[in-house]
Amino acid sequence: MSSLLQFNFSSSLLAADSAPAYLDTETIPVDGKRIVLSSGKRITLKPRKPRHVNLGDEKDHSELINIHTLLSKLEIEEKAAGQTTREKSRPPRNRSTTPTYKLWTEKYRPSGFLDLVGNERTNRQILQWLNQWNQAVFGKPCTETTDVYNRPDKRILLIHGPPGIGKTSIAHVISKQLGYEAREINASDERAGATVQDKIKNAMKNNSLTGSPVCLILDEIDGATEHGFINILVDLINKDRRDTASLGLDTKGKPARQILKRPIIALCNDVYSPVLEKLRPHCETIAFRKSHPRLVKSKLKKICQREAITADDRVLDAIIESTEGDLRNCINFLQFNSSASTLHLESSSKDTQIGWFVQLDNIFVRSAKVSKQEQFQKVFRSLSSSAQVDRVTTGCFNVMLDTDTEISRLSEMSDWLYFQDALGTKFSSFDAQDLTFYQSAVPMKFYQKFNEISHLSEKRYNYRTRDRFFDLRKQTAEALQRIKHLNNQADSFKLANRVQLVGYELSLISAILVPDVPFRQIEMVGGGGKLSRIIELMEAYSLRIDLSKNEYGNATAQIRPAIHLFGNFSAKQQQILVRLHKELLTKYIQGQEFKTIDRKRKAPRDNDQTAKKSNCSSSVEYFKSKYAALTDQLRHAKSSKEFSAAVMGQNEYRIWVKYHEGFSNAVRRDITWEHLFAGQCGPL
Amino acid sequence: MSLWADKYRPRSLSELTFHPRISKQLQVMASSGEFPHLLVYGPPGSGKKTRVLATLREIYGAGTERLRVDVKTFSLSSGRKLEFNVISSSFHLEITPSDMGNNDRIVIQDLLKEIGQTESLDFSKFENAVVSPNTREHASSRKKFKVVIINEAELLTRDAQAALRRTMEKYSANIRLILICNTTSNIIDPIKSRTLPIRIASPSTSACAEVLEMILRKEHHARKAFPDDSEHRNIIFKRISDASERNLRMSIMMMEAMYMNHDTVSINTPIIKPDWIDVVHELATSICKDRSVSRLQQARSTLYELLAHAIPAKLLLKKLTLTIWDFTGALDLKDKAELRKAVISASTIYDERLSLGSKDIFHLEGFITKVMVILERYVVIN
Repeated sequence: MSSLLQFNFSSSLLAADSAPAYLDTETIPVDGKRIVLSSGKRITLKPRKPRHVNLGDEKDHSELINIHTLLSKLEIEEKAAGQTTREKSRPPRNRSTTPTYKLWTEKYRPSGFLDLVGNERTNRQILQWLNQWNQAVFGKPCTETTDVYNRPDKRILLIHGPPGIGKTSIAHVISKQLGYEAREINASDERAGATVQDKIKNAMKNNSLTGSPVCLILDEIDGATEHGFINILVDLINKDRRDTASLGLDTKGKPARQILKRPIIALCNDVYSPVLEKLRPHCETIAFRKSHPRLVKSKLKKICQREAITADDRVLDAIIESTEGDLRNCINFLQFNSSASTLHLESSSKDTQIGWFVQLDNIFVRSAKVSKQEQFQKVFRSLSSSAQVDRVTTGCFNVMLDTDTEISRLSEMSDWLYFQDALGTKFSSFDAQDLTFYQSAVPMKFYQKFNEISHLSEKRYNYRTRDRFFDLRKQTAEALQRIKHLNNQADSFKLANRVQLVGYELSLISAILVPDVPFRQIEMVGGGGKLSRIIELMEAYSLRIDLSKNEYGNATAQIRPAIHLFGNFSAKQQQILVRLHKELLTKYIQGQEFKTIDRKRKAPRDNDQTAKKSNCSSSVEYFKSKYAALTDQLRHAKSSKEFSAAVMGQNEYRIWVKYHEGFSNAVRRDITWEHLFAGQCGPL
Repeated sequence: MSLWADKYRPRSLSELTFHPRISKQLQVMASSGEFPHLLVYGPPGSGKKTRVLATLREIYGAGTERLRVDVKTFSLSSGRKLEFNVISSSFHLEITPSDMGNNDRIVIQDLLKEIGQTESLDFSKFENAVVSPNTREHASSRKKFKVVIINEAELLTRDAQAALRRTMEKYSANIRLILICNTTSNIIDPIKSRTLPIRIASPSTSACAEVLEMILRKEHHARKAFPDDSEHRNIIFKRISDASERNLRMSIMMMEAMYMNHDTVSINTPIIKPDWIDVVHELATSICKDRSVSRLQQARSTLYELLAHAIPAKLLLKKLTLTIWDFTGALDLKDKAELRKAVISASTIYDERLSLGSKDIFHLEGFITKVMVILERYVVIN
């Protein structure tokens, strides 16, 4: 019973019409059904009209729908539908008379929130996120967030999931439902640099022709091979962050604030694709999963009914299985075979690409159903057609310690892993297509050795440690690069042997620069000799110290470039760093003061020198010297008070004349003698 | 202001303290003003570069110390641009082609040819007249060639070395090469035959102590921190030079680190070593004692950590092997010699694998498993 109810519920979800029937109370249509709810309320159900409408024909729900009312509607409908189906299932409708040449996948693309299949939780999450923009966009109140405009904390919503399960649909449907005009930028559009920047800017600032605000939908962004695109997005967010933070401050004279006031929804298949690396931390990420086969099936049934195809459950099940729950693919399949009007099972199964972790499962987990021989064949076939053998092998390496095994076996595997590694290295060095075949040998060896467990522990999904490893490695590599390119007099860094540098030198340097003792000690001992020495060394190596606050509010300091990565710092050393930062800062400020004093002292002398220079310079400048004398007089007359003003006065007459002959940016302006003299007189 | 190790680096040949014979030879060579291509090799921290630079100074005068850093860009055939640091004075330049990884051939070809094809003008008279008149007599003999110092020559790829061999002959009128490396085993024979090999050994412990003592004599503040008794000082120096494996540069840095970290340094003050050495030591002993899969798991995460800190895998392997070597030496077994032989041969195999492959973690862990298997076999029999 419960499963039946579930089924009905979902069917009603799929098949909602533009105007829900239960709202209709005045007239009873000819074949309408009167129904009394358990609460005693009377409602009338209208039969559904087959629709031949296109996407977007539906009336715009320009007003917001509260999620709770929406859910209560759903509930009512569920009950209603439950009763109707109990009475009788509807007879199949005749095929529409007007021929449509649309792809069914477009024809049956959901146009309302209730049309969506499965993923109700996720759908609601998306709805919620988009609702949070209400205040920023429409000025309606909504739940409080920390933001000034009450926007969600993460400004971009990133939905990811396998293809064909309705990611694009949901983005469109929900944005429409909430009164936005969806504007899509997908892989078919030019997405490089400046072109897309304008597009995004336009979308962010303007409303559409119909007057509704725009919601930007960035489809297929993992396919964005143009890095520029992602960079622009990240830039956008960073600017927004910065400008939002500076909201309270006076920003006169600065360029206009760039604050995001429209939602952006990004869609992708593979959220971990390297292209998205930079964007990911800025996004609210939502995983979109495949809908339950049951839900897919009921949707397919609906379509079959509309299109007057008879298909029994078995066939539909088979379709769903062969497409792995890819709804779009299912519908394609239906259309392809619709001419037959009854469906047969011999379907061309989708050429399946098994994910590498599934393959990993196949390798390590002994399947109870098939014989070892058969399983071997199956694994081998899937491996040889796979493009990710390398990943599978790495996966094997990661998992192999978790499978209760003895060391001798692991030692043997290390030889095989070497084989794989050597093969991989060959691959990169030259075109070794012939070797592709042997690639699957290593995973097969793993199969042979390890295929016995009944269940693979969940550890293989625990990539946190490895992620950390990669992060750290990246950081160190970056730091090393920086250190090598440090602009200081210590050439030892630039040309040092890498082994020596990383293995010994850097960690010793960090020990020298940041001793592991209380600060007082280095301050006091040797008459502050140690401290001044450290500071001088820091300057010699042009190292900086960055101060920041950690989550507990304590100040933490870091050396830039990150020498500390090559030797760990204790708490005491941290304190020293913080103090050192202060010392360096005071030193720097003192240095600046000296400089300015020096400059002030020098200023008058400079003046004399330039005057001298202009006197004794080349022969042509007779007029110029005359002129200089004149301007000098003028200047003294104007402001004989301060020398600094004198310097300013000199600058006043500085002119740069650049004449780009033959170029469009040529400068044409009237120049008087005065200008010309002045231009030559002032230091060019 | 610089580290002691840089501050007290000898600048002229006469200041060099140890290996007097080599210094003498270099002196003679420098005074003749003409020298062949050199291949200077020896363990790190034994003063190779110091000697080379001192020799150059002897030949060209103080002008070799005025260095500038240029960043040269090379474009590959694929259109990718590579940046490369060149440190040069008007008499020599210093490069580390191994920075470029597999593209070092291009550096060798482009850069060296460019230098080799241009005849250097003789400015040495003017340079030295200004800087130091007393070295003028050395510089007066006209040197037409430029010296190129190639660091880490053992890391040059085969291609690069092949590119080098003809350049060395063809442009020998304008260019002299000084290859600096730790070992000659990776250098191809044709290059070895074209160069004059000079081996510079690590300083002996006493030579090390001498240098350290000399530095302390000049650093008055630091001297107060160290014990007055010269016996005690010598004990500390010995410990330092042992810990640094007689790497003089490291010894000096260790001493400086000790001084910075302690008010007074006594015989018992712990030597400051890079952290990873302790980690590797601990790892090696733990796998020798406990040979189980769970230990292997821990070893794996430790290895990941070490590799993430950019410590070269080969160095890790070497340290691991040496620690295991020490550990097995202390065991009381019948076939101890056999066992240790097996460990070493495993180590060489995995060292080769590290060179040929690219996934360090596979091979380091493989080595550890192998060692566990070997130990298991020999220990269980006994």
